Amino acid sequence: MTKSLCNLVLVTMISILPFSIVFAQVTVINGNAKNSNSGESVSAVSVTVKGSGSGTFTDDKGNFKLNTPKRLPLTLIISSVGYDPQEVTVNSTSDFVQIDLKASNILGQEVVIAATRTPSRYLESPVTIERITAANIRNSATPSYYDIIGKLKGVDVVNSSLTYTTPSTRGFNGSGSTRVNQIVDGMDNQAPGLNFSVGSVIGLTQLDVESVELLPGASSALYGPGGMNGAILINSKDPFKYQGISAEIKTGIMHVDSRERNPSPYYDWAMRWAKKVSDKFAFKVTGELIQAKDWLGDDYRNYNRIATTGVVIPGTRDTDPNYDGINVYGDETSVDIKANVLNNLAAAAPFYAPYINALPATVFVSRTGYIEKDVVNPNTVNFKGSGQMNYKITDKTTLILEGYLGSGNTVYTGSDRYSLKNLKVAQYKVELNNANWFLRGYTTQENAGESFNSTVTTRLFNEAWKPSGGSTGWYAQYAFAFLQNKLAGQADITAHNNARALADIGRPAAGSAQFQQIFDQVRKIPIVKGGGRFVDKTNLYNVEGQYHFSKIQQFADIVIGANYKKYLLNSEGTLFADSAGKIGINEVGAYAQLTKSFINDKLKFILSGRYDKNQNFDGRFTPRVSAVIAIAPDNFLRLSYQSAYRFPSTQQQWINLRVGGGVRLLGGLKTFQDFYNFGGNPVYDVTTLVATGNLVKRPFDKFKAESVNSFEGGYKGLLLNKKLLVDLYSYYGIYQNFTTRVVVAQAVNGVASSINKSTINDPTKVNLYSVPTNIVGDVKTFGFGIGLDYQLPLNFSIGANVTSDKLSGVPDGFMSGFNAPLYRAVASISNSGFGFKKLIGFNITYKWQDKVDYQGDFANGEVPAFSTLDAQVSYKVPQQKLLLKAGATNLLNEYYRNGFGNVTIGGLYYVSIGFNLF
Amino acid sequence: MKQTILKNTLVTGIMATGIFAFIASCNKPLLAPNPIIVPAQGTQTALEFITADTTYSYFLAAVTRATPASGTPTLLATLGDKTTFSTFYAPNNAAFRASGIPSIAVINSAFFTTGKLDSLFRYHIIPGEQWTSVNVPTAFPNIQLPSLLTLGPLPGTPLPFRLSLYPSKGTNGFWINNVPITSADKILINGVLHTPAVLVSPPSMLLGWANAPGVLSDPQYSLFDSVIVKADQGALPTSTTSFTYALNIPFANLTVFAPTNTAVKAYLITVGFPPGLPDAAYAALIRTNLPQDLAKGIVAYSILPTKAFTVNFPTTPTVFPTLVPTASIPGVRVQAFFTGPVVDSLKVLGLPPGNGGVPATSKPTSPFDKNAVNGVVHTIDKVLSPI
Repeated sequence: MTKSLCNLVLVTMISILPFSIVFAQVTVINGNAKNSNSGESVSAVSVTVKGSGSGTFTDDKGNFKLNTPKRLPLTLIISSVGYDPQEVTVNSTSDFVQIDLKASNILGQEVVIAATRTPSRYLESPVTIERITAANIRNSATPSYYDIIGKLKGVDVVNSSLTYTTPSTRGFNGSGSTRVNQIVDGMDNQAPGLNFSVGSVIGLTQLDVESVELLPGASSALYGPGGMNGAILINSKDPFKYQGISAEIKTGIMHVDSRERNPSPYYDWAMRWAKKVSDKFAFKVTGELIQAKDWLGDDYRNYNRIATTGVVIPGTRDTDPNYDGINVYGDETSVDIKANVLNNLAAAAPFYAPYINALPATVFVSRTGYIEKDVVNPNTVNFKGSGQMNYKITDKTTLILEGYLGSGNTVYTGSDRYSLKNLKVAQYKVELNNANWFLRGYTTQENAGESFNSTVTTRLFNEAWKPSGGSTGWYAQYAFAFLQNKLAGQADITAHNNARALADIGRPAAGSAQFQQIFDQVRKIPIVKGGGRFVDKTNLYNVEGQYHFSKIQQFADIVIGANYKKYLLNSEGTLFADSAGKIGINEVGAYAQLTKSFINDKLKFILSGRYDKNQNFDGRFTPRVSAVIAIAPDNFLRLSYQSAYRFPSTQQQWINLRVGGGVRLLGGLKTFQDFYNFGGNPVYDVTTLVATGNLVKRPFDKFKAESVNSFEGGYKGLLLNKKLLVDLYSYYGIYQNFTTRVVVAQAVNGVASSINKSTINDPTKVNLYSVPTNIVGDVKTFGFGIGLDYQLPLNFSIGANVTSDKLSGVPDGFMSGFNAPLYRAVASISNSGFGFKKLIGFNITYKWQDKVDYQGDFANGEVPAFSTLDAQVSYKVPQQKLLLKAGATNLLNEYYRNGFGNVTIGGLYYVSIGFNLF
Repeated sequence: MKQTILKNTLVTGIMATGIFAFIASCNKPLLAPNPIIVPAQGTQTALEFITADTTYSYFLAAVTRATPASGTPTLLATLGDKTTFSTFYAPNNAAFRASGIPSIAVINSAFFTTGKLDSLFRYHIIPGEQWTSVNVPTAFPNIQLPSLLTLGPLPGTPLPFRLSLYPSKGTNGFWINNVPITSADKILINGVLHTPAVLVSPPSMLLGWANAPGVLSDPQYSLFDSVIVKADQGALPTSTTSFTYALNIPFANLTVFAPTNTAVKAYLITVGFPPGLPDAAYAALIRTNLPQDLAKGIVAYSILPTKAFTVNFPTTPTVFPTLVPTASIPGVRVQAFFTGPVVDSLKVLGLPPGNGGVPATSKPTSPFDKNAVNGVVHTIDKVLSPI
């Protein structure tokens, strides 16, 4: 039985394990909750007995049955997000309690947890926080809740494929940002080996999301290393609270104009079933299947690829013999035919030497590549499944067993475009959760499946079809044909194109049986054995606990916690330097937070601090000090000093991978510099060499964790009779030991003089390494945000926000990967219920972002400014509990990219029918 | 009423928002690959140029009549092809007349077969490269470039073996082989055109020697050939160290200062051979009495390991290494005497005492610049001896 199958079985067992619970009953109250306007039943409404710990929730039909030891008469407190709270007195057990809920229009009253790890009102949050509720998701035009994150204030998103989305705040975004923590039900869902958060691929299903909270900026003080640029906390729905069967079928169409592919369907089928078996035990199972023809990386511009210093240059396959298209793979193989073939010919036939010498000093020629469409599986399939069992050991303590399993195909952009094929990531958690404390253990199990590096695989495919070298190799054929064509009088580029046509005779056509056979053969072979597949079975184990002293400590509200984390890197030498065996990395951390209010709660101070130690790096302490000042009812100023740091990712520590441009990515640990003899055979800075032609030695200091100190001030308040919610912030961040990569060159023969501009791309003469290092000096970021939400009559609401982020202080030659536009803006108008019985809803969201000077390991260049318009209209059928929706993202089908070298995104149009959505 | 106004305002607001968003959502087209465009040069093809300029009417007539082997593009097509690039050496009518072709009628005569014309003028084109006068180096002796005239495949490669042209440049002029260029650097759509003073004749033979037909098999060099035979005595003709091999491989590039029989006889007498004998007798004596090492020395000292036309030599005496591999005998001192771009005579002085300080002379009447596939022969009136 395979491990993945074991995981699946475990999830299933967790989901169906029967519990038999017996408990005492004193008073039984039955009732039902309905929307006073539409008459639809409202589920997940909290019904608690005033003055008692007893409580329950309405089920999927709006019904509740409450058992309480408290005697009649008693008062029920009714609350539900989006409705006015109310109290109902019950005098008799024979009374059927009918509750009519009135929709609430008061802004800013939501409760958030992420900002302090304890519940607090959104308005009173000590730091900037954004929140998405289940209601927002229901009324959103985007088909995935992950895409809603991208519309939040100050958020940038990079889409590497339809199902692979990476959000970030305040800069430093990219495909799989390592500076944002994504925590799902308390579990960090970063794939421990691949180093990207898998939330959009593996995390919660659409129907199981209760809330998403986003903390922009530094957040390490509470959530540990990594949260340099924010933390996203996604919480699932409690099976006790959200019960019944929910389902949604969404069908759409993409590629409507056939720009990338023929028009193709989009399917998103989701279900969730939760059942409260008893007051002690509840469970849920969820599943979601997304299937579509993926967006396509189709930037075919020419790229001068000296790894991280590359730039877009003029040229096409027909006009540049050394063409290297950004989303064209296999053409990264580049050889100087002058040095490697023609000069040898000149030596053998001296009478041709002057003619050959008259050709340019170097004649670099790239192999013919294949576009992404040819080599990456167009079918993006994403399956998410989860199971959870909650058992209330006591009224306040619940044992939670939870498991998530995700699998599918998607595309990730790292140092190259990676086709993640049959990727599987599972997370399993055991948690004891009390009102005041929790103890949690979880593991992340990662299996890259048949994932492969598109660039490497296609290059090797070319070699498998016809080797580059040798007297009859592709380059020999090409060079002779080129010279023949020159001798026939052909212009350079014609001679090149004719030579290519000759050398490519018999080249397998994309999609042909021969192509598929060779390609499949190559992609299934691990990288270390000469193929393109990367094997990654890295696992993460984490144990953590927290105690909240709020109930026993009158002086202040105190939270303490600690965790232990262990990575086990296992790529069998295909990604990490672990060919000799698994590599372990241990981290420990502890935190504390103290909250104290003064002047009748008008001034609240929150002090937080966290200490972490990674076995490869010195320990770090990150403090946070914040204050919230109530300047008027529902109007608050906030000030904070936050710090965060990030231990280099597992890849930045241990990667050892040669990538498409011929550069070897190394980990930053000193062991790599020793292994590659940087001491005996020095390395030289490539950026300086390219810019000036000079060789400047590049020393490397001890690799350190990077950190950021951020100062923030903000205001949140309700104005204009509480109809206008204003959220303002401004921040200033100082990054120290900022982690970046530099590309260095080392002479193959140990003689430095053999490195020059013309040999820099010649692997027989120069080794190129990309080495993580810390920038000496401070890198500064600053920015601001303005958010306005206005509650119009008739349940209409409009909102708009403008945010800005800017970076300074990056020395020349360093790649910051800031990747944030100077300005971005979002405007929306929506209504979750209007018209006949308030059954109609709609949402229109417009987003614009400025151009971005994008930097990534894969490619660098400008991402032009773009805007998107998303819209949906919905109709409720209360009796059948149905929600019908028609919507579109990028309604105008205006193609755009939000990450350089990543997919080009068009319009997605869908209709959906949802049952029992809450 | 108030409610109606509110609704109308709301609807208007929604519509305005929608319209604004609609208009604002139009993104600029994503940047497409940007082809590299080679800027056009010139305004005419070579064919258009020689057609428009009637002073090239002979050349136009010649290339029109020229017929290549089947499957090879015609010269007319090559001259008119806008997709190819070449360096054209296009003789004008004056050049034809200077070459002894006074009229188009002669060009169309039976003497000039269509194949001969095709071969002749393929030797006037360097395909695939544009060599303006600026690009031609001044370094001795010249630059060897393949013409469009193909002899056959190059053994062991898919490349053709082409007869070479030798552009050169110096203070006295700009030449192709030894022919001065009278008008240079006409930039065309499909290359650059130079006008030579006369037709540039392709070589028809190897250097050769007496027993292998070539330029040196001319009877006036028969005694020098005997010296070559003596030098190679005991060596197989296929031995790569033999002079025979060097003079007969098509890929070599040599300059041979070939002494006439008169010069050889005069030399032999100075080293003790009896005077007054017929050439045949001296040939026999060379085979029997001339020390082989001396013969080797004479031959090696008469050959430069590069192909230098007379125009390539400087006007100031300059030493050039020969095939004598001895550091103490650095070479021969050569001086060219020009009138304009044309060489009147060449003086070659052997540096060792054995040459008596009297230079050998080469004059057009000797003649010099006898072009061979693998070299060039300059006739001299004195033997160059290394001792």
